[in-house]
Amino acid sequence: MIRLTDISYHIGNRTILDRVSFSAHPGTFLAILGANGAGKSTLLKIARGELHPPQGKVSIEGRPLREWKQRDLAQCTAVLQQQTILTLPFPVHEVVMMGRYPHFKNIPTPLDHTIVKSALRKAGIEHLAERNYLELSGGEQQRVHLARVFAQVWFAEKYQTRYLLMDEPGNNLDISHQHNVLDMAKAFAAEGNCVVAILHDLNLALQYADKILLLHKGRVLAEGAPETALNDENLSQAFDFPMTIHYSDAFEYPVILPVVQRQQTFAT
Amino acid sequence: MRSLSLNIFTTVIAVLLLLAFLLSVGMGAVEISPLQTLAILAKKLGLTLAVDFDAQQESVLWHIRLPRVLVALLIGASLGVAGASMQGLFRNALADPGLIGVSSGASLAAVCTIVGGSKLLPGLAGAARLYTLSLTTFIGALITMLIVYRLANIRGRIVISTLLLVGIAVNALAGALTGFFTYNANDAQLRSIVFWTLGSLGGATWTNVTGFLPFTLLPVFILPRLSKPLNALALGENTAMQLGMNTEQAKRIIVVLTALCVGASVAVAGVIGFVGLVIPHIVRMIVGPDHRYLLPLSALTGAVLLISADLLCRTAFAPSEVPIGIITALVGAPFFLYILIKDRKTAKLA
Repeated sequence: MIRLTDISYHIGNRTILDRVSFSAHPGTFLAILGANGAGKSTLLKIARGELHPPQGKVSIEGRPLREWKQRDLAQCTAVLQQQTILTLPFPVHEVVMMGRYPHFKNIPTPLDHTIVKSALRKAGIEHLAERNYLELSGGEQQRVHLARVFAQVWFAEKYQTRYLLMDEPGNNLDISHQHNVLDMAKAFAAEGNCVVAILHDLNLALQYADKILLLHKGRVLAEGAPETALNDENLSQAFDFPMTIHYSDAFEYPVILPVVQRQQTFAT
Repeated sequence: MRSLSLNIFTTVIAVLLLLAFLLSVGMGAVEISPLQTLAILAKKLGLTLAVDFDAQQESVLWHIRLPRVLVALLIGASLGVAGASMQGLFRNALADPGLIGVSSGASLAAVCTIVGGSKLLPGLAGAARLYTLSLTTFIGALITMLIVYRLANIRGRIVISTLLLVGIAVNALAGALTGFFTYNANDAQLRSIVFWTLGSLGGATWTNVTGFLPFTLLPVFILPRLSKPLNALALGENTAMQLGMNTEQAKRIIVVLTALCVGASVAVAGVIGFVGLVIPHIVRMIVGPDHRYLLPLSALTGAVLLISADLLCRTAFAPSEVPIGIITALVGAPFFLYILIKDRKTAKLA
């Protein structure tokens, strides 16, 4: 379990996070939602120990983050950043193999090779394995990093539960790949692992998340199962725009829609 | 596929190294054939081969050629491995000890030591002089390395334009101070300074070889052990940390060891530019950027290149010698332009 307690974070005198607490349990897919600047990315960085909040506690598996060895933590926790910059011409399979770095010492084991292959296949980039990373499109590059983080937490000798933190995994991806990623993440969580993902698309969140954390201006506005946590009122407040959640028998999931009001005239 | 090209390349480089070695110790005013070379070396080990050679050949080989070729080998290897590690550390294929100012920092330290040191340490000679010089050039290289790294690292991300601009600034500063010392130097110091700024292996002796050996062996054998963190650093510092790498420790070791390589080679042979840029680039084109293979092969290829370049600079206009830094720059600078033109298409420099 990842548990964050009473996290506050400031940059200068601007408050980014204000006493935020949440926990993510094994077997669940937690989606963090919120408008730009709500503090989502900062929260994810704090959860992985990339930023250190002056106030509050972070623990994984009941152990405070600072008591973890970097390598142990890397064996059970992977992070997909919003943007990963790579400027050296590595072939795709080697980038994915870097996900296994925390697990082997100097030479990858046969298991590591098998995992890299499986991760490439799952991410739908098997055919790109030998290609130079720098020559791929943005969407293909994003899928390479997805394969890399999945390879990292695919299997860990010492850890039953693995943790996957993702900052907008659908970045640069078209619809089919977005669904493929979230489907993978969902299946990964269902096996007793834990996924925390920042999602931009609210409807994707409704379809895949077991639990929602809705942030607004650095505070938790709502938390819980998607249907209970999200309603017209708090969605509209969180995004500062009129929104409605629409339940219909035609679809398996409710649908969130912005309420567009065309009242403005240009240049008046 | 990949392992095949890796094996072929390793074999080719090993053969080239042997050829360059035999050719280089044999060519010059006194000719020594490869077989004679083997016979002389065998004699030193107490063995006798059925090949004739005279005492002059033996003396030339043992006292002049062999130390010179070995110093070229060591410097080539250490500059190759230092260039490859530096490019890994800065996550960019344009980082070169010369371009980013580390060599100038070291040579400035050397020039200061020559001009200033002659008053403070007049009796310094032989190994003691070499070690003092090595130490000051190491410090010069290390300080420059730290300054450049601090300035180019913006929130865990290396900004290549800043890196190269810092290099220009450091080079200009070192150039100005070196110029100042040159202006105020006496004749003997002047020759010494020219030697340092253009690079030469002319003064190579056994003292150089033994004195330089640890400074080469240490980085050449330790840096490849950091291949994993170097590879992971290519994804940025945060991601490397998330992959369980002790990036801070790895960075410190890489900075110190590359400064050691550059500092020691400047102390022995002056500034030999572009080796650290060209060598890793060639190796990367053939075996890919994985530092596990890139680092050792850059060391080997660097050795081959420098032995050949030194052979060229002492035989091309014999009996006079061309400073080796001129040869490497003549090859390296166009190569630098070639990289820039090639990368313009893929816009990798941003």
